[in-house]
Amino acid sequence: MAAISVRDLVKDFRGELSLRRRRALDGASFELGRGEVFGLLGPNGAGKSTTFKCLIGLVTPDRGRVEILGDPPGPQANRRLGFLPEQPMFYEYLSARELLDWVGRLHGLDRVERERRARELLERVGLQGAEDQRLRGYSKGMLQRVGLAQALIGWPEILILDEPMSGLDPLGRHFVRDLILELRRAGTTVLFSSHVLSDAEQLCDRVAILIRGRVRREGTMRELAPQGGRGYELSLAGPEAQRRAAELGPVVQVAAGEVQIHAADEAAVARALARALELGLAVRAIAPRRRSLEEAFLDEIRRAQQEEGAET
Amino acid sequence: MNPARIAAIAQLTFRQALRERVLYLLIGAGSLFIVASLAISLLTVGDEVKIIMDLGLASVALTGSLVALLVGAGSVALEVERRTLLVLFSKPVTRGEVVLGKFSGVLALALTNVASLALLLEAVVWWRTGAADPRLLIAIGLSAVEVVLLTAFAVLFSCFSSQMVSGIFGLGTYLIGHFADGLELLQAKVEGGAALLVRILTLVLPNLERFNVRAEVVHRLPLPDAQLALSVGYGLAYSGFILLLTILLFRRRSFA
Amino acid sequence: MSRRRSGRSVVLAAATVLLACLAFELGDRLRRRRQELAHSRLLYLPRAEALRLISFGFDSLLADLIYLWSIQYYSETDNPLRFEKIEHIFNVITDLDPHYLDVYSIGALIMTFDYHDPDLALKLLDRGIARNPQQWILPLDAGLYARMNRNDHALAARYFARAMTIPNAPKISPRLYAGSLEQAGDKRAALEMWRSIFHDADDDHVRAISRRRAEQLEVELELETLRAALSRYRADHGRLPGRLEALAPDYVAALPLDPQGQPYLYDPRSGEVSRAGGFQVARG
Repeated sequence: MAAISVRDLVKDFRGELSLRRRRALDGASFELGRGEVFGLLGPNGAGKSTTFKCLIGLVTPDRGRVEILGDPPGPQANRRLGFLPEQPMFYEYLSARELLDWVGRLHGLDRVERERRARELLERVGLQGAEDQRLRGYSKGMLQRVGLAQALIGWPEILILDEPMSGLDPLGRHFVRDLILELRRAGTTVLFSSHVLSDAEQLCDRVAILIRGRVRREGTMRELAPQGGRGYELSLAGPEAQRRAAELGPVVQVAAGEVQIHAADEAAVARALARALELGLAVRAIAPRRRSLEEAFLDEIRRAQQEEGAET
Repeated sequence: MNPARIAAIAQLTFRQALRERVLYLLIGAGSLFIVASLAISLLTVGDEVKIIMDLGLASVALTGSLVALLVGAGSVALEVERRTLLVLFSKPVTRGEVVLGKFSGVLALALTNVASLALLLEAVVWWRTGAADPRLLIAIGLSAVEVVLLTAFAVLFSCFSSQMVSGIFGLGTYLIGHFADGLELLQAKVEGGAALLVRILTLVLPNLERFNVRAEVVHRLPLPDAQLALSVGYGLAYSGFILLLTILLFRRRSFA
Repeated sequence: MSRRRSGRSVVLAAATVLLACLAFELGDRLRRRRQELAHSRLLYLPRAEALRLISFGFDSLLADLIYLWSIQYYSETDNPLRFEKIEHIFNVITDLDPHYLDVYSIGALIMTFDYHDPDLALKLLDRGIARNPQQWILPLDAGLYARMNRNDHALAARYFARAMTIPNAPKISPRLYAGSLEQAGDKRAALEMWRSIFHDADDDHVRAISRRRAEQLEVELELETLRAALSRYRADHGRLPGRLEALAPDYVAALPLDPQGQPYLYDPRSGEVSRAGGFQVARG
């Protein structure tokens, strides 16, 4: 049984002021297996949050099916789920400990269990010492940690995170990444959404690219961004390199004091390298070029725009 | 329907409501009027206790009703506005439990209010006359039933609109509910579409005057048990209906 | 620098004091003027039906407040116009709270003693009686006003009769009734009433009073009977009889004796009848 199965979801929203309907989901489908880390990727407005709201039962889709471990969305499924919304808002007059206690009550834990679990999770997310402060005074990073803690209270089999790393400092992002990996090791299924593709690249087993309410591509990282056969990239540093790079080969990218040159095969690499050494340029790295996820992503966006253009 | 979860939500709602400033304004005003009635009663000629009881019962009823309506208006609406609802709904709670939890929390607060002011009023009457008057509790009891009904309405509105709009609708329900005689007169005087509208309003909205036995209590007129029982039954049945309606409709609501 | 600052402070202080005086003076003027305006406020007191619609269930309280205000208003003796709407005001209050007994009583009091219109007072009390049929105080009050301020004893008697029948009415009510009957001229009914009071009396004082009144009325009635008989005799025979005994059995069924069992005295020359023992009884 799939952990989560989403089939042909359609959802329209009627705007408050306008009479026109906005189609948030247009036949979205994807599936997660148990124990996977799955990334739902898409630009802003693609329908990621709406999809998640369908998963937790906040939004009822107009058409389509959702199954979570075989159950439809609702309190039954939520028992085995943990959810962290984007930019979460909690009851700010509660302390972290009180919030976790309350969530524990909703999960049906008795007092002893609740206390123990709260303490355990506060430690796990690194909030011991701050657990009795009101949430109002928490920084964004701390709120995210609390959010993860509350999502984990009920020992969920599936964790759903909406843009878990947005707005976090590097320490925070690192923490979330580590947590996800730890959870995966423990067998938890993790579904998260992001528009930051590098996160997905690092963490996900599989991804789906959601654009304008429809999943355009779904598959493993390897399927979407296969390695090999695409040449190599040389990275060079220094102002001199930037000026002379074009002599070595086609320039792929110039960023932050580094220049990247493309070389089609190993022979080209050797030639470029020789030339670089001749010119006295500093070579930083030579790596096989993978069609990055970003490219796959941009491809899909372009394709979607073309389709739309054809339609109108 | 798990009572433990309903209780958890109710407690949180209660705690949240204690932070609403309007609550303290209402309690303060209510208490002030009850205590001030002692002074005002000195100005009248004749039965001085009457004005203490009139003002006191009016304060209790009005304060209780306004707390129910205004705090209830924000009970669900604020969660939607502040997006704390997302976390709540991701938990294993049913919509019905949310509605009942919110209702219970607001009701507990409103009834606590009514009870406190009732105590204050009896204390004032004791001070004045040397004995507390148990009949006042009958009028207050019926006001409490009115509070239950108003809380149900407030939660209904709160589930489907903003705090401000819910408050306005709630106050409207209160005013129209007490305007019952006027509606009857109006029905006789208007025609066509307007008459239909008035008729619909009388059928749909409760007649809140049925919970008003203040005049009878103050003048020591007879209060047949059957009538009291009917009023209480009417109030509770109506409240149950509104709650069920709220749960049914809330189940189908999607939240963008 | 400091001189400028202290100069400014002085100006500020002076301005503050000036404004305070101005405010005080204006306030005082307003207070004096208020009395002139007060009566015009009343022109806008709506009818009770209208007020009830906007009272939203607090009619009783509204009645209290208007009553309270009216008491202050009617104690302003230097406002001669204050009685213009007195009937309307008390009607409004009693419509809002028909069971507020004090209002009827105090309203009637003001209408009678300040405004000198006892008819208006009775009108108000009638409204009260209609709505509070089980309250004895209202008909009792009305009876007293009818008797003492209107001198309408028949009316007073009707009020007292009503008060009497209400449970818990004070014990003096039947006596007031009987007294009014007498003063209205219905001696027979009064006599019956006094007899019944005597019969039901449970203390000596009441027994004594009722017996005295009953006796007095008995005597008066009997004397009247005799005088009427004498008149008829004279009409038939052209002269007065020599003795009272001559009147029986044609002009009077039997010769009455006074309550002590003594025969009545008769002076054949003047035609006067009187009671024995020198008790001079006034006519009527």
